[in-house]
Amino acid sequence: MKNRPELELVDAPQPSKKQLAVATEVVRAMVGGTIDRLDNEALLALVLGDDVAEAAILDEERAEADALSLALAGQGTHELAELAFALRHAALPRELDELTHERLLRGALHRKPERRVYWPLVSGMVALAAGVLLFLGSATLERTKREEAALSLQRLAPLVAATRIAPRSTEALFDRALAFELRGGESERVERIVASRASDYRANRFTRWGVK
Amino acid sequence: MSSFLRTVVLLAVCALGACKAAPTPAPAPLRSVEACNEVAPEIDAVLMAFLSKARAVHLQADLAEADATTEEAVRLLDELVRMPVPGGEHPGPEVREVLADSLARLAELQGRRGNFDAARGFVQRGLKLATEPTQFRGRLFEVRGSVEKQAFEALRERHDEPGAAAAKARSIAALKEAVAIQESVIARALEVEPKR
Amino acid sequence: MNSQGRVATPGSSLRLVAEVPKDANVYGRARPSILRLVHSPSTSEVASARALDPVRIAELAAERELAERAKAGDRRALAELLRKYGPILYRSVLLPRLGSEAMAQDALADTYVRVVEKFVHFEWRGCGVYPWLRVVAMRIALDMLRSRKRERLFEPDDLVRAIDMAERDLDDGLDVRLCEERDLEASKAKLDSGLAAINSRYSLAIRLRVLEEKSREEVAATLGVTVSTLDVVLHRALKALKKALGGDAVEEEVSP
Repeated sequence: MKNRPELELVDAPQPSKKQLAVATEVVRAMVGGTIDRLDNEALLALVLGDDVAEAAILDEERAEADALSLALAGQGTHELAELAFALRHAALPRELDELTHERLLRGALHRKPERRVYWPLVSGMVALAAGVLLFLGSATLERTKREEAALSLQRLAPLVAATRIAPRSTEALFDRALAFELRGGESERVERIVASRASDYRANRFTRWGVK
Repeated sequence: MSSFLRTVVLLAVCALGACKAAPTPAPAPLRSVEACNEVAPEIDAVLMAFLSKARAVHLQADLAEADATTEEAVRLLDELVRMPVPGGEHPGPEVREVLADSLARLAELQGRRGNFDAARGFVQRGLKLATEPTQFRGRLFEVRGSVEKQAFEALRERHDEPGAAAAKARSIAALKEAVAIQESVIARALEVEPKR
Repeated sequence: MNSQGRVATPGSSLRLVAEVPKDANVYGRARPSILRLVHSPSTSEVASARALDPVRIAELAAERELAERAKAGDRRALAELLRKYGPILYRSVLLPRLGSEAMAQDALADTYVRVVEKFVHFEWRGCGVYPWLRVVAMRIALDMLRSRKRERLFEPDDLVRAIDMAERDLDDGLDVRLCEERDLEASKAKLDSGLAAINSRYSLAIRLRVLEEKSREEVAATLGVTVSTLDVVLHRALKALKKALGGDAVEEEVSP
């Protein structure tokens, strides 16, 4: 008797008020014949054991899902896309292209050995110099607040500009081992350039707005 | 004391001396962030608008070519390479490369239609934009080689032997240049890049 | 609880691996353990396989000569060895474990730098250079996993266990082909155990969209949802997987 699935429900944990509310809404919509696919998904997720907080599609979740979808298509980034790519690399790891391999290999073989530096002494010297500078600075550097503000703004401006992504050659976007085809391929190339620079453009906008 | 340590000590002493001696710099006139932007170009809306336009034109040209209406494809691309571009007289690398690719496509289309002089003109314009040894420049030379080969065949049919021989020589020279550029692209790709 | 056992069969052994996520009871019902048999050739098996393969013996003799030259400071010999084995390290050790091409390339570059510095300490053990390179690469990958935070399939603990195994393989004289098979098998096992820990609808969405790279439209049709709903399902699926991967997957030795 205990094997009958409906009886197993007896042992199931009691649903919370929130769970019941979501389920009631979904079932009500079904009965009224107005259930859409999203609600159907919500019901499925509930039945399959998802957290109720995840069952109903909120705007926030929709936005996240859209961002993930874009990131999977190579536009922008999303932490779950990182996981997705990691899964792909575990399932079907791709070969390393010969040019990149050769570059990495030559980099290691032609690398000069690092010179050993006695870091405790160097850092001690730097700390001493910094201390003396601080002392001298407080004694000699007297500027008005306006001059300070002007200077700091002036110094900040190139820094802000420098953090923005500048135009540059697009050749890194293409496999350099292969020459372009004599005929065709322009649309794919410009498509790739647009996709890459669109992401730079968004990053620049965020920097300009001070969000990044 | 090793020579390295002596150098560190000397540098520290020099730095302290310089700090003491240097007069406080007078603040320069305040410049706005926008003024800085003029000297540091960035990926902006104007560039994106141009790139999007170029993408749309190439897609339209694909459709025209698929319908075997190369004339329409040429018209569309010609409009693209004539339009004002971001950066005006000094466009940035993306604009130059997209234009060079578009000019190569135009040249290839004109070559197929037998308009060899027009094709040569487009290649010439493209080479002025793609001055670095990139795949874009390499392709322009390859298109030039192909156009000259087609010219060679047309001239030979007309029994213009000296003209055909000259076209053949130009074709070979252009294809050799294309190969040399591709070799240089590969050689640069193999150069050690700085560690990320 | 997890278990792993060696099943005694003459000349070879099989390890039984069982994995259970930490939050096995999170939905009010126990999740099944994932049991897997992993082929693990013994030293004698490897040795006999080697003994029967004259081509491999000749290859090893040539490789030994290269290794001796490389050890004596011949960079060309070392480059030849790395040119042969680097791509295998990248594909079977680094890329699956680090989960990003950029990180795997960085790790391969660091591995090469370490090999150039340390090859003077390399000692020939009869099984070739690869098993030694594999241990070096795994250690680099471990450092990288510890220092860079990103979403990934493997955790540093997985790498610690893998290094343990790789060192044993080095002692056992495991062949390059077997090392490669074992590494690829381990990645697949880790992936499968993660996917088995979430509901089948979610794992199907991940398999079709992420692993088989089918179009959104195709996957949506298979799951019977709209494309925009598929995006949400996939988002939930990856979130559920991320949560499931937070569980332990400890392998323990069980005596037969």
